[in-house]
Amino acid sequence: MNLAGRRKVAVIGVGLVPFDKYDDDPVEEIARPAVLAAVRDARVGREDIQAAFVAHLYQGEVLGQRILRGLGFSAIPVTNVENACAGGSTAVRQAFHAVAHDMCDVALVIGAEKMGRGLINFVGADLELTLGNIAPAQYALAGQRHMHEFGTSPEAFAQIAVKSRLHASLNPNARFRDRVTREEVLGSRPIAEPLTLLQCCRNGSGAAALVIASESFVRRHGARPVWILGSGLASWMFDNAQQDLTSFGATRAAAKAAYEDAGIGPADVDVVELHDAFTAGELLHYEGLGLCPKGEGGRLALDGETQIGGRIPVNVSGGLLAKSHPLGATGVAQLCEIVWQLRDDAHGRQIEGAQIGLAHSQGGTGLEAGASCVTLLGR
Amino acid sequence: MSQTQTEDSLWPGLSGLDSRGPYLNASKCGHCGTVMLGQRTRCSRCWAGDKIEAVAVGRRGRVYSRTVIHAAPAGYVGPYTVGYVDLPEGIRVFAHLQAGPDTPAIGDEVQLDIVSLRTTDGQALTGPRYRRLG
Repeated sequence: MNLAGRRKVAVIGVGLVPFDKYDDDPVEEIARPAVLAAVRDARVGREDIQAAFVAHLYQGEVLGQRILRGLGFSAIPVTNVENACAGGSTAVRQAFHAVAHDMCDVALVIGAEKMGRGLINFVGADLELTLGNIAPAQYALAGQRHMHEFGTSPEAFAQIAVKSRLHASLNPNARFRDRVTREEVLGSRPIAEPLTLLQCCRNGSGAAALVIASESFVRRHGARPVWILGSGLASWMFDNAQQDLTSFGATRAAAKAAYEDAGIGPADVDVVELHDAFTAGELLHYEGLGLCPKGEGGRLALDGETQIGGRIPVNVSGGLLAKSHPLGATGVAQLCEIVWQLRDDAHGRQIEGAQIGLAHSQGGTGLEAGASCVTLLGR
Repeated sequence: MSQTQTEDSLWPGLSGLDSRGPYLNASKCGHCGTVMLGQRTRCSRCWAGDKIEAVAVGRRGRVYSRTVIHAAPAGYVGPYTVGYVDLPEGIRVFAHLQAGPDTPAIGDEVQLDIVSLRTTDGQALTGPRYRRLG
């Protein structure tokens, strides 16, 4: 879906509240510093913001309004967005389209979540969960099939966790910054084979925000733009069909749509933040995003190609694995990292000369009823 | 088909038992032939809402993938083995798999049992578990 005639749109400000527990803070207070940081980074005022798109999953009614009324916003349109763990990136996409199609000049995106502990449970009745399935097992089942078909080793999955912690050790915004060895990863508590504890993201609370603006506003205002080159959103809603679980259909479809929207291909991408809720997910997303041919995700991980300094660095922020995962905030935080990379502001972990970045997030109940969203950004 | 097991099923209406043994309940569209897991009132393919007929599926299948869950959710005791089983009727179901030395591997043909999967307040709750055929 190439939207000919749309305006150019840029991210001009980013704000992140590093993910942690925040047990004593209400979600509105967790979120507000992210909004202030993004607005100040963009060097705009409250009166410049014409619309807001706010992602969360478990925070109740009109979260965006609850955050923004405490910052003196009054009459702007606020849209609250839910798309499970892809909600943050979906909110970015909604704001992108609102500005691109001249519905407003400057929009605010917020992702915020205050999480409890333990396994994530869904609100709706779900047959698989009732029968004892858990989110990590859904990814483990996909990973096991990949091992069966392509000979992928448990070490390949474990190496992704090693890489995440290596990257996190370079990123002051990450939560789990101790480096780990492959042996430590494989030796940590088993969750759903082959996944061990260090291969599963932790719950976290936190928030992220972006200010995005039209090209004309950027020129008038003199902002530091990182351009949104394209966006793709896809779902995968097969009803107990015998689909190939070794590649996520929603990721493949969203990536294809985003690449076509931007008029580029995977070889043009210099840095990637993708949805690594579990190491098995990251490995399969390598293939879904076109970073390597199908079946070669394990080799990509073991050869260090996705490590900082490698051919296509992935999750240089540390990813969900090392930052933890406040559901609605995650997809917005990925955009923060890509923007820092494309402004040469990613101190200590900068990918030198990065021109184009990709952010991907995925969410849903089960592997066949979810959403995947891909955003491409460029200098 | 005879009576459906509901009183102690984890997911009422999921399974049944007849002279040939346990099965899973599915719905078949009388217009286009689409088979859907569970008791449905509308065909997901052709959208017809009439001529939906109950059919028994899943007596046998083939393991598409499997894992062992150690981090059991509330109510369950780990470790236990689960998987996706592809049925000859063209659908895929999530189910438990028999553990132990005879645990089915990916690609193995399997046969359905309805067994107690967990206990709540002293009452056993049942659901589908497949064992290696033979």
